[in-house]
Amino acid sequence: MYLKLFTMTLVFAAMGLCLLHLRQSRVRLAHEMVLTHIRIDESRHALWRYQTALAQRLTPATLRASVEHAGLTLESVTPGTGDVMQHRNNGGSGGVAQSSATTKTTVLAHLD
Amino acid sequence: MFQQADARRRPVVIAWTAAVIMTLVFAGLIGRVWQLQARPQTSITQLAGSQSSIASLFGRRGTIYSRDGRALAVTKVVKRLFVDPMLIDDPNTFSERLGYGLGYDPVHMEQVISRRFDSRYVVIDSWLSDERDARLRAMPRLPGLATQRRLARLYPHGNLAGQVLGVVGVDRRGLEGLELTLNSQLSPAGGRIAYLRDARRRPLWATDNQHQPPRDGQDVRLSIDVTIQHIAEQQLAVTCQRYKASHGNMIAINPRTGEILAMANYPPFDPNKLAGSNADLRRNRCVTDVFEPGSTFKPFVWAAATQAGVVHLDEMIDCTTSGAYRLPFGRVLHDAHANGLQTWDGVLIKSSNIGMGQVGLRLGPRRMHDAVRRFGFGVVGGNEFPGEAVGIVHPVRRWSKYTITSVPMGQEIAVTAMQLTRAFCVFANGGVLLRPTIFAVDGDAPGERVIGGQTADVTRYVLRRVVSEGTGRRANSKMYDLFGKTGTAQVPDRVHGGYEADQYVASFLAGAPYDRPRIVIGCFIHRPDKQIGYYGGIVAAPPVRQVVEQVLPYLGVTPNAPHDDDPRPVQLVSH
Repeated sequence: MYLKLFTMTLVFAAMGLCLLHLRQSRVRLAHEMVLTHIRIDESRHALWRYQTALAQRLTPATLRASVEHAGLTLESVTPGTGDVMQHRNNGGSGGVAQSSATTKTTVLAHLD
Repeated sequence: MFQQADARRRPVVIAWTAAVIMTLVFAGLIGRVWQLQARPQTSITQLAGSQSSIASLFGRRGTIYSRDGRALAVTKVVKRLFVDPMLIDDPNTFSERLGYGLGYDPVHMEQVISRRFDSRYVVIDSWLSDERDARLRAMPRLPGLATQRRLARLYPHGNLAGQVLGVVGVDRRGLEGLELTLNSQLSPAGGRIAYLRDARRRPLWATDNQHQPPRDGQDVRLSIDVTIQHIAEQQLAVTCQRYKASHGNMIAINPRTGEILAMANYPPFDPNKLAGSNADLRRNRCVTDVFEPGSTFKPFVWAAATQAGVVHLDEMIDCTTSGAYRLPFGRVLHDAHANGLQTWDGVLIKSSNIGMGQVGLRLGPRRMHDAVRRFGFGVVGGNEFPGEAVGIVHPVRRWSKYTITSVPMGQEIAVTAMQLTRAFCVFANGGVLLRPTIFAVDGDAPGERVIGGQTADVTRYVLRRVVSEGTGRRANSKMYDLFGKTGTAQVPDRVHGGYEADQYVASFLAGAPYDRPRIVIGCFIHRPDKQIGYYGGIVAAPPVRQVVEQVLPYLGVTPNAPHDDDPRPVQLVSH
């Protein structure tokens, strides 16, 4: 009799412990979901930050400065324009004074 | 015997008693759980409420991309640095610690805080830089100092296409330009999530049914090419500065698709610096401002007259040897130079007002008015730009004999730079008026036929001669064959009537290459200094040539080998 009572008590206690464990797991999962939410949000914000930084580094002026800093000489990808652009850069035909964009580099290559 | 019976029943009694007690205990626990879940006490509810909070989730405003995929307008999260003066522990040294720690002027910090010492929210820096943010995280915590995240709109290319893009206000709604026109498309929807927090305010878990994910705004891809825009803005700025113009516009359009490849305004406007800018600077004058086009309008009337058959190419027109011609009703037309007898195509090449006036009379007001409207003047080209002007084309019933001889010269009519450039595309694509668009499109676009294909080709041929031997010689390029028309229009005096003295609009419309046009460019320089130069052929033509010589190689167009001018199309049939 006492053994049955003791066994029943143990069984109920074990069931209770299992329920508690399940609840604790559920709470932990919910907490991890929240942390994941927060990480996703922060990743989105970081992505926006990188996109902005990338956009700022791809302006024509920045690219030109980078090319000049690297000492690169761009060549035209369009056939027949190399010699003419060289002539323009050496002060060829008249018109409005050329900007630094066209005097420093030979020609704008395809940028896209 | 009774004692033995009692001894046998005792365990049963104990067991039943224990079972009842345990049942009562568990029932009590379950009941308590139910009561806490379903009907908690007020004090417990308040305690739970103080442990939960709702956090906003940012939705991102749509990004505006250029044709070549570069971001022109982006949104990112920035931090606002603020102070709660009530929480400052040591007011005497706070400003110094803040100033020297983050690189602000301590005196200015002290003034800002003391001005609003009774406030709980004093903004120190509305946009904390990344460097200062790093320093803030590295320095010891200052009670009362905190950051708040907010969204900020950035324009990474600075003043490139500034007036086209427009700006957003502090409430992140578009105020001008495409930010205004596309506001509903670009606008995001914010989200929110409710957290249950522990005693240290760390989030434990999200409350059920309290999570609303954010929705980002829709991204937009424009037809603007960053490289072409940059080239156009550079040349426009150089020209306006050289000739001390009050302002200038330059537009580049793909004549086959109607895509606007560049839309430049001078002076430029940087949307990142909205504060302190005036409305005139922010206005996209390419579409909002109207002006009398002058001689750049002649090709449209010339083509209409040729199409209508009221004149033939080889017909000789008397443009007089004096440069003045009295019309039957008394008006005297003047040319800049005495042109004598000219063929009809020579009238356009020499830009003779006398020749255009005479043929304009033959065309008549009704046909001329209809042709002007068909070319898109007096109507809005599209609804993509806020404040786009319709221009001024008087109803035909209000046309006088003066009007019929003024309109062919580009007077008594007001147009926008956009309308002129768009209409000029008709000569570049075989006679079709396209709807201009600021959005990238794939493939050729449908349009409305304005003139016959042969008329368009003949007009283009004559416009080629304008550049090779006429008023547009300064646009003649060794690399590519341009066709175009110059214009030097007076500026109307809105106060006293007539025209302002020594004030002009120098303009040039052109397309290239001649045989298969890839681009049409309109350049308009307003109020250049007359002492330096004011003719369209001198002021506006050279920058267009510069732009063509840089843009066409970029577009992969092979320059010409040396050759004679193309032969004139021999057949012309009126439609």
